[in-house]
Amino acid sequence: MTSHQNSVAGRNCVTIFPMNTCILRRGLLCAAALLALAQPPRAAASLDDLRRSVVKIYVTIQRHDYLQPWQAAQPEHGSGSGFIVEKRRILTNAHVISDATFIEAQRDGDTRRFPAHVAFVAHDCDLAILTVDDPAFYEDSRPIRFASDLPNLNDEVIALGFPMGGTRLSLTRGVVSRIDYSGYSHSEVDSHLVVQIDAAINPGNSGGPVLLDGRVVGVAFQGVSGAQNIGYAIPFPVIHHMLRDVADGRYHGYPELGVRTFDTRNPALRRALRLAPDSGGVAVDWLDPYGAAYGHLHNGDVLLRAEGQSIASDGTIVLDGNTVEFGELVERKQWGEAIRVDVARSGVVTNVEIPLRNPPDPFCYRIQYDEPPEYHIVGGLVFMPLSRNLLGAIGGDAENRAAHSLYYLSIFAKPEGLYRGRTQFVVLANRLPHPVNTYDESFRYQVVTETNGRRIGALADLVAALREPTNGFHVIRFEGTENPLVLDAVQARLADEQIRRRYEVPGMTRLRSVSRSEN
Amino acid sequence: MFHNLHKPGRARSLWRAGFRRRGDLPRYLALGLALVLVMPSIICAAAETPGGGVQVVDVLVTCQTSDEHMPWRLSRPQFRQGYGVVIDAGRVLTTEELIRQATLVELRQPGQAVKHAATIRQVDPRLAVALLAVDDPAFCRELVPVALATNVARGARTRIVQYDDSGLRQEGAGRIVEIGVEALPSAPAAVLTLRVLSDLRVQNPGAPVYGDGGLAGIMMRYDAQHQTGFVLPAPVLARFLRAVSEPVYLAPPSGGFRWTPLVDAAKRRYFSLPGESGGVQVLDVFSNATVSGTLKPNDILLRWDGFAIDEQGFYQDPDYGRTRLSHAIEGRRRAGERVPIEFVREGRLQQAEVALRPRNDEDALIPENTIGAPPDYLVEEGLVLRELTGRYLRSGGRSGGPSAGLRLSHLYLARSEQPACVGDRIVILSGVLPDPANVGYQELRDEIVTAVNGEPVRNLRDVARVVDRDRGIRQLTLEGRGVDMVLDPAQRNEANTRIAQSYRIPDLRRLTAEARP
Repeated sequence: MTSHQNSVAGRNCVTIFPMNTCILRRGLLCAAALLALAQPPRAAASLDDLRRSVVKIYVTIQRHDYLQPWQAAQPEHGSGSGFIVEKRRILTNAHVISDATFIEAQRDGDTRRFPAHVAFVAHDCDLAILTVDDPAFYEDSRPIRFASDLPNLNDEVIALGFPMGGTRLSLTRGVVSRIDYSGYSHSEVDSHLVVQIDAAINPGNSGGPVLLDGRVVGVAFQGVSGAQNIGYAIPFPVIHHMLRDVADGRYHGYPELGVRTFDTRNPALRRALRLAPDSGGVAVDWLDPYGAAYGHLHNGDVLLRAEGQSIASDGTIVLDGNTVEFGELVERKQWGEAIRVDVARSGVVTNVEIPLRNPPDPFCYRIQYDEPPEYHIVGGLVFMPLSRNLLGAIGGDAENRAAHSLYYLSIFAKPEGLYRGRTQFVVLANRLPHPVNTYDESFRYQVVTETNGRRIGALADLVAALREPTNGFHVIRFEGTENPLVLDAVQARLADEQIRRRYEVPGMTRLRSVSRSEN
Repeated sequence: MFHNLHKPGRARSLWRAGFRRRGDLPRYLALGLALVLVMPSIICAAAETPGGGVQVVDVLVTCQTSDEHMPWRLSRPQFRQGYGVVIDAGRVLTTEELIRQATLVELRQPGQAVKHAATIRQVDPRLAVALLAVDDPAFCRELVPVALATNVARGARTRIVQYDDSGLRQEGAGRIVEIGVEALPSAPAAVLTLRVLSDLRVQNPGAPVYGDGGLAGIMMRYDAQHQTGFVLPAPVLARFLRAVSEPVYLAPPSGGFRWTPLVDAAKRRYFSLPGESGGVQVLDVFSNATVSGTLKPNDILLRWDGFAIDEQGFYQDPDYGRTRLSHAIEGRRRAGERVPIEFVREGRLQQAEVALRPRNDEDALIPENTIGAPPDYLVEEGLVLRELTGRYLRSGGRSGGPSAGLRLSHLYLARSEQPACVGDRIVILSGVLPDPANVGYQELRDEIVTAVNGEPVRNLRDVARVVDRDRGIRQLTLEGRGVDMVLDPAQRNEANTRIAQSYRIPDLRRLTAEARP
């Protein structure tokens, strides 16, 4: 499998030596000269405009500490790239500005840095829009225009940005080597179209424009560890989707169809599904209970066409001359729109319109940004909802049997029906050692099912249940074992005060909302 | 007598020190010579073994491991060597790990070239021991049995024997520093084990450890860094030999439950236990086991077979002192015997008697297959079907993708000992051998099979029965998938022949497991 890595410069602290700067400047001039030779006069002239609109973004980031959730990690400093688009906005990657406490923007050739703030962030497609209040920032700038569609294979593109912490604009050149549907590492769960280019894209390029004939065909965003000259850009359709989404002043995100399909190439399977040999189509194998198709499609339905486009038996369609997964058609829809699909159901073809309005999914486990984690502490035991961030924090303890179960839940909670009756999986995430919990280490990373006789489907349930001890004890039960954790309720309350002081915990509870599970 | 035998080690270390300080060399040479003169048994010829004849033999094993993903394939033959101890005329004891996956076992007198074929008579993976029989009567006559020691005690002195390549005998002194119940890395269960401190660097497993006038144990593993040997003690060997002498070999009993210490004062109060009453908390009870139907999770086990259990899970063993509970359950009695137990359930003291039952690896929903038995399998139109085992999950290699592997390993961690019925197993589609017959399915792997041709299956034998009855697989139902795989039985024979030839599969199925209910 390919592993994608964010190329955010936030993590780059590379010192650029003066010599390197000189080399960089010479290289840029050479590139400009070459471009002038290679491109028609209009394109050569546009490079100056482009330079005036590409922005270096300085960020101070403070991540949340998911093992000590009452405190934040040490601030980090870094930088990325962006570019000015219409309406005096700066487009960049979400991963450049996620968890940022302070953001500044600086244009190429300008010594001034201007405070910037986030207008919209789209973590599911790794894009963000920044604004700078000071009009002086935009003087002499010209918004960079977008291409109207995907580039073609072998199209020659340039990437502009500020890689490796450099303060001068960098230009690299390459060709489009692949257009694919691939994972976006920022959220670790989303996949969209990507444009693969062979131009060097390095940390710090993130958020910079990838241009064809002076128009943006993508936003540089991730690379591949261990590979050479493979960079990825977020293509125009994804950017366009985000810009349309925020037109009403709010980002809704991509709708999720929530359909897993089964290849129907096997002739025996096709006969069993009563499909004509060359009719294509994919069989619905599983429906996500939080997906838009839930209730509209059924297991065993065969999806033949979507929006009039034939779906091949391997699940692909031909779109704009490229073969892509049929999900790309959903990708191009906005939240609230609908998609029409032709479905073979028990041998009869019917047309189904699926409104693309899926409820918020607490079990998709995107990496969370910008929001401090929820937690509750009792008797020195730190309870938190399961999240990808928490899994990341306990990653080094993956040998732990209970930690393994958490990874399992993060993937199979919905397919195996384990999510029912919950909005969160509440995990004993940490233990602040104290005599009251000395013998409770073995419960670490286990999922709470019941506390003081009440079912626990969310952290708020736990907080409420702990208000009513059972015969003087807090009795906490966990998934997959009948062994209860028992705390003396009075001793736990007394211990909490000592624990709060000893471990400098400002508050024993942080709940994002008071919403409880449906129990 | 024995303490003298420790001196070779000292002599050797002094000799090495002499090389570091050349000025001391003559002095150390003289001292070393003196030591050797007073300890003639440090190194002597194999023929000079006490009592004459051969008590210890080289065990030479050729072994081949099965490929867990293509179970008809065997690895290239590998070679292992260890020792065996002659236990009576024609029978040799060695470690189970040494003869694991053996295709040929041969014995040889140390230092001799002639090898004699041997047969594996009995293996007990739980006791980590194996019994070999010598096929050659002439070689049998050269063998002299070693008596088992009757007293193995903490602090006792021992003598460890091994042979160098030329057949010269090496001896080292040792001392039993610990008697415990622990699982060696290669063993499936904890067993009574001696830790013997010795500076003789033991090279191969199975080396005899003498003490109390007989065989105190056989060396399972030697940790050179800590100069500690892990020894399977004579009482365990004696127990194994007793079981072998029975008409039907009965594995040692197992309690069939998991427990945890119960030290937490708050929890003890919650369980209404007096402060000093001891006892451990029962975590879960396996299906069809000794305590099934008697103990339940969260019972507090106070006494087993008359022995009071402390809150950390130890009891006072009459032979070994403070010993872990598992030895009282598994090490003191034979399967079939009945023992009294005492426990607290919901605050009330209860007494019962349980019949000890052996528990084999095959009783689990997901067996470990620690011994590496060739797995059963069935290949139909390129679909490779088998039962899930711990060995399969640990085999790595071709990954089924993180999610497929995660699902199976979760099942293993959560339910491996909990079959709903005797004989239940997890049948998996471990992979697909690409062929025109299975186009569209070739990326499926590590999927759990729940039904074949619409009939639920509990194990691979069920699958084979349905396949034989229906002359092929028409429909394969996979857990968590809303669409069944469909195959064309009309293509079956042609596809199976083609696949067997293309992938060089000598037999499209192996079904060696005993018929299950």
